[in-house]
Amino acid sequence: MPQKKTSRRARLLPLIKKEFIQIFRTKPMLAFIFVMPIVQTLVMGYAVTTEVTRVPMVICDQERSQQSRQLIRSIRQTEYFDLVGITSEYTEIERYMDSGEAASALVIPPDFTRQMRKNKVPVLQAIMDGSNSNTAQIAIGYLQGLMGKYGEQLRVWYPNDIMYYAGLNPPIRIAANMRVWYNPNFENTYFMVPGIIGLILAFSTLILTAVSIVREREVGTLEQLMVSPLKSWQIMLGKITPFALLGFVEISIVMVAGKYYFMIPMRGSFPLLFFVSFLMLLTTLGLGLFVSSITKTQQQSMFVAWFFLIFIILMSGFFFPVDNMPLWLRRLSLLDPLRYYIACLRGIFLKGAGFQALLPQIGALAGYGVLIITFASLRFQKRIS
Amino acid sequence: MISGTFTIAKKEFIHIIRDPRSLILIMVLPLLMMVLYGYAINMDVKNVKLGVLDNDHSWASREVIRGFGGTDFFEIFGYYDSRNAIRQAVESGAIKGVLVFPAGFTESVGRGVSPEMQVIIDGSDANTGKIIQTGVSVILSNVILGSTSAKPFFTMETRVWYNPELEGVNFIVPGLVAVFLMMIATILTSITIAREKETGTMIQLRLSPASASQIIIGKVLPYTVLAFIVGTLMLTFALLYYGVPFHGSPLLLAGLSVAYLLASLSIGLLVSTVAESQQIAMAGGMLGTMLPSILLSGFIFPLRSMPVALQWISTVIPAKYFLEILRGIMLKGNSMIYLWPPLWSLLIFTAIVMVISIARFRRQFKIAG
Repeated sequence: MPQKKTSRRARLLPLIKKEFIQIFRTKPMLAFIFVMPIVQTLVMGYAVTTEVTRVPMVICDQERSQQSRQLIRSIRQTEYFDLVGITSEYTEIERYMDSGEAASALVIPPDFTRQMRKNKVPVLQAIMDGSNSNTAQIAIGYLQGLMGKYGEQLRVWYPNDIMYYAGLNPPIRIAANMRVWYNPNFENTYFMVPGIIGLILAFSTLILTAVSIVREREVGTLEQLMVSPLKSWQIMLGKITPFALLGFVEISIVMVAGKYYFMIPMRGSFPLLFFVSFLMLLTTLGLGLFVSSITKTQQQSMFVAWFFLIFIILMSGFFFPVDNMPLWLRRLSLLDPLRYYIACLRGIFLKGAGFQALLPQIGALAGYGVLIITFASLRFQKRIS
Repeated sequence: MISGTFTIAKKEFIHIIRDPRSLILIMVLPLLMMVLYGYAINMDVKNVKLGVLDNDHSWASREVIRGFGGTDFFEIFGYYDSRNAIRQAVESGAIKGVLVFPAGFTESVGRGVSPEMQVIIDGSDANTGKIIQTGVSVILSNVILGSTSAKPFFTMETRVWYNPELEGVNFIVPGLVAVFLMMIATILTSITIAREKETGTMIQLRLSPASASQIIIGKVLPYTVLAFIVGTLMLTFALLYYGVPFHGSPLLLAGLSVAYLLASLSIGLLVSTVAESQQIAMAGGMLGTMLPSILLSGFIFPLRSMPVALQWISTVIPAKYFLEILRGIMLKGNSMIYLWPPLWSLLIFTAIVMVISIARFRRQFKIAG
């Protein structure tokens, strides 16, 4: 018996070796594996920001007074808006907005100062390009804040001038001492890079597994493997082990880039990080196997893998906050393993969360991992034998 | 010349038709994804869960808490009684911020002095954290303690053009069409030449009387038609299902989208001339288009907020120009006057990529022969 066991293991190793050779044979594949994670990390680390700055603005100054110029200056001083033009014609705004040259406009009425002097309340008009609903919403908030501050400023500049001093009892403001935990400078990369690890792991392992097995079937080499003395579980293990190792290499690359390039604090434990990564791998490899068992050509498996990926990335909260989704989608997102993995990654990196704090997420990941890989390998073995 | 192109196109067309399973996938998956994504992408920060640690238990602290609870931006999630409890709640992600009222918070109000409180914000998600911070200051400045007769100097009214209700789907859905079209078109063409190389049929092609450029154009033709159909399906779906407005001319859009499709297909072709196997071709085509089209096109993430280097890269992302065209025609009702610059960019892009692909293909063609 023991002799037989060694010989089985001896058979498995060459298969894994063969897979490795197949993976590393081509240069584009090497680039795919080693260069892409770095490029992706760099681009995503900087590009995924919903922050709104430099909204191009045109100001329609119908008054052209010292007062209106002061107001314009207060807008120029911020980085929220980029002044792309000043005009006195209201109709000009349309041209600016239609061409996309400006995405916001502010209209200062001709009697702005006069009304204030008469102790009336003049109305400024803000126009926003709503075709980007996101930016518009945030920019409206900025502009309201800016104008509020400008009003306060007027109160400070003209404290005794009855013309400008509109009230006798200024309201009592609450002084708030704001503390920002975990990421006091609001570094976007601190949040993104741990998520990118999850994304890249899912991306590379799922697609490669799905396509590589279908490819063997398409080219006809899967039959050769089947007539070899290897057991079907050995074939499967031989196929997925290299991808699992690759997955670990990829996340290590991103981690090193995160730590030494983006200077992301790592507050938690590495063993825990690798443990949850292993659980996640069970899921992505399982999904890859599953896709390969329901498709016939490489193109089909690519499309289906793409669909799975896009689904799990969407529902993971990486790009878009899950809390904002409608209830049925939030329920659906509970099915997404990547969601738990990314929650673990962010928790471990930024908050130093331990096993206990992440227990629900780890439990869910483990459950999905075992379930999916078992189901997929059963399907795979049935197909093979 | 033309007959050679058509023979190749016909052969490629038969390839497509012979695999109905893939054809259905190509038509149905994008629509399915549009349903999911149209609902899922919502960048509004809403119902931010806050915890309260109230050591004052006074009318003033209640007034502030009511100020936060009364908006749909914040939601009072729970009351805590110790710093430790707060720490746990924030660490587990249950709450995103805490309002802390020290004992004696109210006292100073009677004296007309600003009372002081503490606000803790979970900054791990930088974007949300910043928005929460702004939201906190706005709400705190609106809470009025004590009587006042102050009147504002001026007010501001806001009008929103093109999308007055600020409907997120009107912004997201055109973006989805652009991104999905790009990915599908690239995946489709990325395998065309790689397949010939992998299965060894390159030599057969060499023996045909068609020239390299005829073969390339012949291969792109059927996919242009296919991608155009998929695009029309997606847009029709967007109009019927999501009720996205369409202010401009559909004909103009149809014409301009051909330029975009050609740009996308040409990327696939280029990938295909580089890759040795279908697997690499598809993975490369997908990676090469999916992330740039999502990240650097202005689909969701504002380009103007990115570092200058990324803004430069975005000038070679076709999806960026198509989004200008798509949003311009659908939401703004733009006519051709404002659409020349994106159209030219697309055409130049396509021309350059096509020339490179044909040159690469011609070289491989010679080696194969």
